[in-house]
Amino acid sequence: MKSCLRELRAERSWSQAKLAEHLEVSRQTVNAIETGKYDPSLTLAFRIAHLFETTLEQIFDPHDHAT
Amino acid sequence: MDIDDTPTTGPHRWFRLTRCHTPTDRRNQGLFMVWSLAWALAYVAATWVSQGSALGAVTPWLVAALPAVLSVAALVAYLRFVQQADELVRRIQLEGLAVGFGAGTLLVVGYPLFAAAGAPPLDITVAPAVMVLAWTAGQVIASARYR
Repeated sequence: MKSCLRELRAERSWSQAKLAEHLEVSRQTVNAIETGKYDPSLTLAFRIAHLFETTLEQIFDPHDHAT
Repeated sequence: MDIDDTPTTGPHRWFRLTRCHTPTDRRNQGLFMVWSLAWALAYVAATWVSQGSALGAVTPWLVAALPAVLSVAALVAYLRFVQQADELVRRIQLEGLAVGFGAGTLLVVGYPLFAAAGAPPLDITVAPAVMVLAWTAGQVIASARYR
């Protein structure tokens, strides 16, 4: 699933490791979400939206799914 | 290009291998590896000791029980690792376990047919080793796919 997570992260000048620390996940997970190779769980998706103070629909494009 | 700026303090190889993991995952994986190593050493020692002749009546049972107890500890440590793991790590573990379980099952179920056709008999203790190797390979392949 495509997302604008990378752009949102760049706006705050966060590294992937920093974002992973905020979300309490691994940097590998952040990288996989940004590259569209992994779709986060609903819980994690909501945490991402809450962290960036936006909605799921603003971050994720549901029309393109990763395996 | 996103650079991994996670500090790799010191030459600790374990940290470099798992620097993409959360601290919880690193700790839990480390515990699992420690218990697994303890089990492996106890198993080797038990195998060696059990070949001795002057063990008495109770000692062989104690010798057999020690690696069994350590294997339970390793299993509990692995379960804790999986239950607390980052969600992508958990998915990678699932895929690795699927490959390991499948490879072991195929070997145990399928090889007797080859043995009946004339292939050399296979020691059943080979199956766990095959499962572990396949489990490891499955994890490596799954991890690479999400990179």
